[in-house]
Amino acid sequence: MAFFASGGVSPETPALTLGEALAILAVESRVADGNHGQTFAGPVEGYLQGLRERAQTLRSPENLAAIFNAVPAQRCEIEKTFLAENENFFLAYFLASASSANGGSACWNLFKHLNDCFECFEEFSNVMQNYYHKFQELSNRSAGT
Amino acid sequence: MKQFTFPELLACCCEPLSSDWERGWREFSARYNKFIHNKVAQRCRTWDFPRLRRQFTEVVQDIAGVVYITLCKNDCQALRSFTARADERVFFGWLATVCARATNRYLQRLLMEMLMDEENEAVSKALRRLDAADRWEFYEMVVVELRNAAKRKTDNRERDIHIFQLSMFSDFSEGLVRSHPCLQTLGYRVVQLVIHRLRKILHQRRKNFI
Repeated sequence: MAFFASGGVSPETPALTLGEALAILAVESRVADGNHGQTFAGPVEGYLQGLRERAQTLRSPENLAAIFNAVPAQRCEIEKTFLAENENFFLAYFLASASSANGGSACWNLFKHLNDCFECFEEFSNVMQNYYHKFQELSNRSAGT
Repeated sequence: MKQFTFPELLACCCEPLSSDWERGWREFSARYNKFIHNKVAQRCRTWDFPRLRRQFTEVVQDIAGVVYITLCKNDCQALRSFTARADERVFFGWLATVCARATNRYLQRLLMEMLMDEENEAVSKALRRLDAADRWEFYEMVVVELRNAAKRKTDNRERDIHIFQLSMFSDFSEGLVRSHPCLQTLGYRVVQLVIHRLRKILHQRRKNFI
């Protein structure tokens, strides 16, 4: 999943994957002044702002519960996998407290589904890796390393 | 001596008590041995990993042997099941499928051995080289084996399988695993212990796939 800067933006503007965007938002929420140390051109910042607003909406217990309960009990159909382009899922899991949600069942459901569904596993791994590397980069930058 | 026709050849290869049985298999081998080796080698080349590359010729020989065993075992059950005896071209297609299946099973076993014994990085690299369908099938095979193993009282089996698959299939480091939104409270070294324990489980279950 990636948001590509387009339409009048300089070709040097980097594409931002969902994982990277989540890392930026995660660092923002941990840093007092919300400054994650990077600035982005219009469309990319617009994408981030959209995610921020969506994350706020999703934080309500009802919305989070709906997302956590939507994880399929079986493997997905090949044509449409659950995690494909499912930004709300990643916003909920990465930015809300997934580990304590629904008495822990949110995570158990996720483990079970990713073990059942290879396509969702690959999707999740890709987002996770992009998230982690961006998070490390921003954390190192703010630590001055 | 006159060669058997195709239907005659299959018929006498399926009759061990026939006086033509040995001659039939010699002729079968003369006709199809190269085809079998080529099909197996072709399939092996799509599974590119170091252990296979080092022993490529031996592996192809082994698998070709497995193909012959598959055709002969249980009173030639597989060969008898091929019914389109009027057309040898159809037989080539059928035989190619037998070769592909035998190759896949053999290479899955090799990969399982890698999974049990080798460094995560080497395993991940080998798995990344597979085509998507083979990777998928192998992923599911690993999950099935780990799920079917006996459970302990304090079992976090689904969590542990997920950690194992992240480490093997996606080469997740311990730090990466612990940044997972559902695994952030994992204790130090838990990831290594989980991988070690699940490898042990696969070792205990190796008779299922070796």
